[in-house]
Amino acid sequence: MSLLLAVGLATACRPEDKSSAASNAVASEVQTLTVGALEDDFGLQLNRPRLGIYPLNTGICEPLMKLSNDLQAVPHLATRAEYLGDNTYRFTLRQGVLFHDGSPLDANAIKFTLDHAIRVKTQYSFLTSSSVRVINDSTVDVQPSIPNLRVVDQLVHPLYSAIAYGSNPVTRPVCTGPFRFVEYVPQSHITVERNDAYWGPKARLERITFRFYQDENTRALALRSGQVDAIFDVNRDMIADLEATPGMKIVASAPGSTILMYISTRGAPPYTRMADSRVRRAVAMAIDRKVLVERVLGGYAALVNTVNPPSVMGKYAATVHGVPYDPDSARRLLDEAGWKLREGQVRMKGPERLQLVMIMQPGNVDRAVGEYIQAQLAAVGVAVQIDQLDPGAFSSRVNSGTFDLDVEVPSQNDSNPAFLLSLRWYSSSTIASARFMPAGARFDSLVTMALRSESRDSAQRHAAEAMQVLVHDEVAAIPLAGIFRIYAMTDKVMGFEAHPSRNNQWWNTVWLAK
Amino acid sequence: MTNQLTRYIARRLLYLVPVWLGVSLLAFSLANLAPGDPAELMLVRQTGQAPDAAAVARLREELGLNGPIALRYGRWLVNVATGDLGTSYRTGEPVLGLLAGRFPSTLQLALPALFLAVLIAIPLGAAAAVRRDSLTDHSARLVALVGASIPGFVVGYLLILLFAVTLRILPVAGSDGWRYLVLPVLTLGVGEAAALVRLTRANMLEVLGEDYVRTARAKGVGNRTVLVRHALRNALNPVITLSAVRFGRLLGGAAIVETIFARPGIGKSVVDAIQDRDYPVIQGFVLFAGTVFLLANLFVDVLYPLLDPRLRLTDVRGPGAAAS
Repeated sequence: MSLLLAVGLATACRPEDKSSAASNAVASEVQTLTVGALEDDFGLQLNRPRLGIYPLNTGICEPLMKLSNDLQAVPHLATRAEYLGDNTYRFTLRQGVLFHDGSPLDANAIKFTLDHAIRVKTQYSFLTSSSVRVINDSTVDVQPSIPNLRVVDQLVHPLYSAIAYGSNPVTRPVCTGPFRFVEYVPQSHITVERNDAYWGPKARLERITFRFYQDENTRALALRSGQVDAIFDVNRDMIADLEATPGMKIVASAPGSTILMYISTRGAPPYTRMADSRVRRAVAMAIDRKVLVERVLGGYAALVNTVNPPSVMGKYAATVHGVPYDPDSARRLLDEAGWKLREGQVRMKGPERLQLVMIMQPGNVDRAVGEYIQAQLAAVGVAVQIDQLDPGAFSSRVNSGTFDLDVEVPSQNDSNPAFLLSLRWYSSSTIASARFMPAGARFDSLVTMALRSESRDSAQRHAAEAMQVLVHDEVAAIPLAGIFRIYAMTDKVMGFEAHPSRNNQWWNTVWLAK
Repeated sequence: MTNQLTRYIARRLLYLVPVWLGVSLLAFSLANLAPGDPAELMLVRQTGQAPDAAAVARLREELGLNGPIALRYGRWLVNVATGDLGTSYRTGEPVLGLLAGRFPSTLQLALPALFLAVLIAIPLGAAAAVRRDSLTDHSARLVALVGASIPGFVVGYLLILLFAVTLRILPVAGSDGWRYLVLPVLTLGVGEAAALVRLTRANMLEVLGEDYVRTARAKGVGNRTVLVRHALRNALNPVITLSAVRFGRLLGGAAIVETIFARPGIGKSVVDAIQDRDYPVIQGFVLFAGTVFLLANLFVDVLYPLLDPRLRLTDVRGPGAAAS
């Protein structure tokens, strides 16, 4: 189908699409942008109190700390976050900030905001209704219910965006952002307009309409037809054609997530083959990740060794080394582990075949990635059965440990370097699947240190050390490729900076060339 | 005749009760026995990450998912009997309201699509049969074959490429007015027409070989009258049956077209519900679709006597009995 569309897109190019270079064009002050967004999830019961905020961030609300493009927490509505000891952080609020209804941003509004976030079941920050204390008009203390010194990194998430005291974000979110809410039509669109009283640099666009298109091909066609000016999450198969289309451009972010192979180190029987660390290492050695990045993913990916985007690890990302590609050593390791190649293509140990079950979700990971891994492992005598599952069946398999390999693309929407580590492999994790993927006592101790580090530098260092244990020493996970977040837009769209986290994409720097 | 018909309709409506019960059991079992936990999936949607096991357990309790399945089925059935199909886990809307709210959007597609299909199929199928083995016949058969062979979503994308991207005379997708209906209706209509063309042609060929057609011609009845009054009218019964079946299918099966064209119809809602294991919506939909299907068939059975005079002379005990 993608090929069909690619051909269609190529043939559909018309001479009038050839727009002149717009880089030096003058921006108009009255501008409307239409964006092709993903499916409308605001109608979901649990997302209703997050209208315009999450999962689609329309720029109407802002958090205390902002997630920068290099995934660091930087002061935003709070000018300062300082650790007081005793698991408590003090936030000093920016002065002169007004909500869209004209009321001032103060500590009571922040308490109202965080209490609201707690009520709507935002997880993993370990905040409770007694965690937030108003010190004075411009000062708030936050103390999680359990030791959690990563709370500043977590509060960058749009779910913690400030909402006006007493407002009802279900029907009309009143916030402080560069845009203000105009209307929401379920399953159709959400519209925002410029907030002229914004405390920071004013947005250049007067209005943005986000139109919902669940189907990625339809989104791309809507862009080509001129129905929208920009689209989210372009299908990799369509990039080359869109890029070659006059009047279109592709904008990619830095790696925002990693295609990651989770390994069932302690799977439920009969999924026990990966309990042997030699088999795990052999699997990692058998996969040429460079070819995966350059050929299978068409270059719109990066070679990474971290399980989360490297930038969140800061300078310590470079200290994490994955297992190098070495198929000969992989074969030796499998021989040592007792998996011998006799007759046929698949290794055997007694009557058992070395066949691994790899689970994936269509739409989450390109099927080509799975097939590539299957081919690479076949070359060293490991058979892989790919089970493509819908979300329900997938979570059921993950939570019951009934898989050997699981390929996913976990997202990172905050600046906590230990986020994924503490969620998926940490022995203290409270998610159902963690017990099937332990990475050992040393890993656990390093994650604990990362979570309890006062300084960000120390947290990044410990997280990097834990990651080295995870991907190299224990090989309990294999980072396959860092992937970019890819947007496509017309050449008229200027000033757009692609954020690695979709939920943190900002539109206030964007303008339309004439 | 009127009394007979009323009795027949009443009897058929009564038959619906055990069928409904069977459908409800099937719907409930299929939804609840599929792997996956609605509570877990709701929380994944909420956070984008694997959820806390305790939070999943709390939500399961809130959703009433912890009781024995038979008890839950019984409770659901009692509620259904009072007109309460339950509440969607995903959206929090009452299922009946949700289906009723999405129904007009689906109907907006299904009705014109079927009308278009019939409009294309009957003249084309009849012409192909009358001019058997001519260029018209070959063309009609080719069009029908191609139309039936190409999946609906491919037709949809091709229509978008032509009318929205290249010619730019219609919008790609959305639901803001009649212009947004044209391409999805065409997409659905073309597929339906393909099936009906072949059926119309086959039936016409059969009827044209019948004795009464030959007799009519021998009596000097005009060709037009023979074709329209004698042949086509008799050839239409199976076409109408199939149209009713396809209409029922269109109401529930337009999911892909609704997704491509970003229309908030029933089909798309159900696909979303299946993905998220939204049991009440899945169950409610299966019950709804089953009902529509049964009623459409009942409607056709009632329509038969009006089209076929032979059926009026017999005791209406059902189409099979009447035709035998």
